Amino acid sequence: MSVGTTRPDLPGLPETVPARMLNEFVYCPRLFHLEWVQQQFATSDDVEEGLYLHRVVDRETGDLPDKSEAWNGRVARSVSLSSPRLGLATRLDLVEDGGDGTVVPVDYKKGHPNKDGGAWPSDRVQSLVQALLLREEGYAVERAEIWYAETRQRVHITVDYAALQEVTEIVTRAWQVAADPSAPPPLRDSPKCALCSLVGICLPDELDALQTPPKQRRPLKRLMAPILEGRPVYVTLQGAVVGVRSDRLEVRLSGELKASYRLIDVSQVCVFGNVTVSAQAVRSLLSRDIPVLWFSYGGWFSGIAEGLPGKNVDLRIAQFRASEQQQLEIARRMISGKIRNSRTMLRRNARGEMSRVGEQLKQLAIQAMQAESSQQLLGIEGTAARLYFGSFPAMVGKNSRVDVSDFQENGRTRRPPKDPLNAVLSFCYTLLVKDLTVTLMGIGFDPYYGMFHRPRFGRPALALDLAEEFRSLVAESVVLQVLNNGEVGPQDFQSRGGGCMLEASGRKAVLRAYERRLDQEITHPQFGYKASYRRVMDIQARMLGAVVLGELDDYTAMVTR
Amino acid sequence: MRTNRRRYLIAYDIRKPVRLRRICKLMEANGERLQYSVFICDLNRTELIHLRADSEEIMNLDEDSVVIVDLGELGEDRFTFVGRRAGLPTQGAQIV
Repeated sequence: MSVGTTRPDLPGLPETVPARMLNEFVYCPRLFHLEWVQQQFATSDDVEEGLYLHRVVDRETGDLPDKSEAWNGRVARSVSLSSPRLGLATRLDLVEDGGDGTVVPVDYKKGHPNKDGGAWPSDRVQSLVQALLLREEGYAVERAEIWYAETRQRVHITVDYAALQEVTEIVTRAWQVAADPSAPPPLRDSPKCALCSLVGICLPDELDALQTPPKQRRPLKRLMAPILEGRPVYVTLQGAVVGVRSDRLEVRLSGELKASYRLIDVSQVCVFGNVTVSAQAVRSLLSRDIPVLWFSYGGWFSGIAEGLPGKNVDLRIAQFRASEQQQLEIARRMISGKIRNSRTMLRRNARGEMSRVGEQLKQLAIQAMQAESSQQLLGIEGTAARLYFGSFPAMVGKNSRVDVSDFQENGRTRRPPKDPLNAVLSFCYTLLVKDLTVTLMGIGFDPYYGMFHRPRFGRPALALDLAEEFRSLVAESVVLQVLNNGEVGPQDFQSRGGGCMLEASGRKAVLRAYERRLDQEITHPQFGYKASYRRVMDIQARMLGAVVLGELDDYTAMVTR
Repeated sequence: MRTNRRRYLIAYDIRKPVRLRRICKLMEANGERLQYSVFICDLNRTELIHLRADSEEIMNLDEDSVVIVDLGELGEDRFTFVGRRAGLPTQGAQIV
């Protein structure tokens, strides 16, 4: 009796596929592709609990018996086996003596058996692969067992020709999926998704919703994505040294401890001006996937250090291969979304008569959708921006301690911003682009190759693209908040050589307001659930990825009602 | 800010100085010191599992003891300080 599996004869594929990944494949082929081919990994409480439980069988002890040796009652733990001939590999939790000359692979699982008291299909396949590998080594295997920790039950699996034949077919299908650069589509409406640790990366319900016409769309019940526990740390204290001690991030000035945070709390470290980050700290942060971002004292985004680049190579290839037509289509939707958001902003906040400007912006948003070239789109965007910023001071209320009359005269100015309002706007845009750069890099995009903005002058063009639809929603809304709530005053600005700059105190106030805004929850216009702006930015970037990879037909900009 | 974390009071009694120092570092990485061998740690399930697994690695389970008390959700102030106040964990972005 011979059972063989087929690894497709393609160079570049790994020699063997781990049994654990075949478990994932049976659970969901897309999960298998994301985890094994794209190497995207996310953990969850359930995964970690499983690992904790697993530690008893993770220490290698005992040897498998010599086939002639009597092996009465002994066990071997954590045994690795692989076979290039079968194209399979595994690590067995436990191998027991089955009596009568057979051995029994035992797999430890955190959960419980299915409702008939049997093994779940994915667990069963994993055990059968282990049996197959033991047989390949010359052992007699007639059954496998799975220990379900939650109910403390052992489930038996019969290892016979039919079962092994079935596994062979599954392995063949798995190799076919692995050889394809694009991932299989997500499961639809599956209860499995709620239990999957990659749900926040895969976004099955969101992709499904965007493929359904808006009228037939049901609001999604809940946001299944994990909650982000990390928080950014901004160091603006000049002369400070950032170090790491006992897995805590420490900020010291002349040796004196100024602040200390657990590394498990930190999502990114932003340093402004003359702040030293020790080499040890950088390495420690990067090994935890925490990026370090450097800004000039004046708030110019000058660089980023992050761990190894994202492993999602297929996404980057697709990004660079996107046709001009596809890029233009995405850019149209982003710019149109931006114009609609700025119109909403004016309608909600401006005092005085805005209906004429509102109508013009509405027309421009429609024109943007029909633009025939990126030059034309650029023109439409410019016209909309002039109109919008012309009315911007009308949104600054009486409570503001900052005089915005200079802005009325100057309009939007950059490099350097000429007046306080321009200074706050510029600073907020920097922060927005910073966060989108981090988000895009984390997903695997190249942030410097844009859809609308040209990849020149070292600007993170794709982050600038994605920033368009968030400018009003996040940055400008923060600007109005700090002005209208009186969180910044005239003393927070300094004019120097024709430019205006935020002082340290003002910068801190803006940073606080900006972070507050990112944590604010809104009802997502497409999906109907509540999500923070921080999370919405991540979702938009992932949706952009889905469009580029061809999983989604059209990009939908984030537009609030 | 949404969080899955809960607040735990963690106290320990470790018999050997070497292990004591290592447990101490582990607790500093996971929480704020309240008193000499008492920490307040805001942790989610994963973080709690890690803390527990790491403690077990360091401890001599026959001699040492670590006690973990679940104080419930964050934000509820269950603390009364008599005398010198200790800092409790904070949430949100940090600006230095």
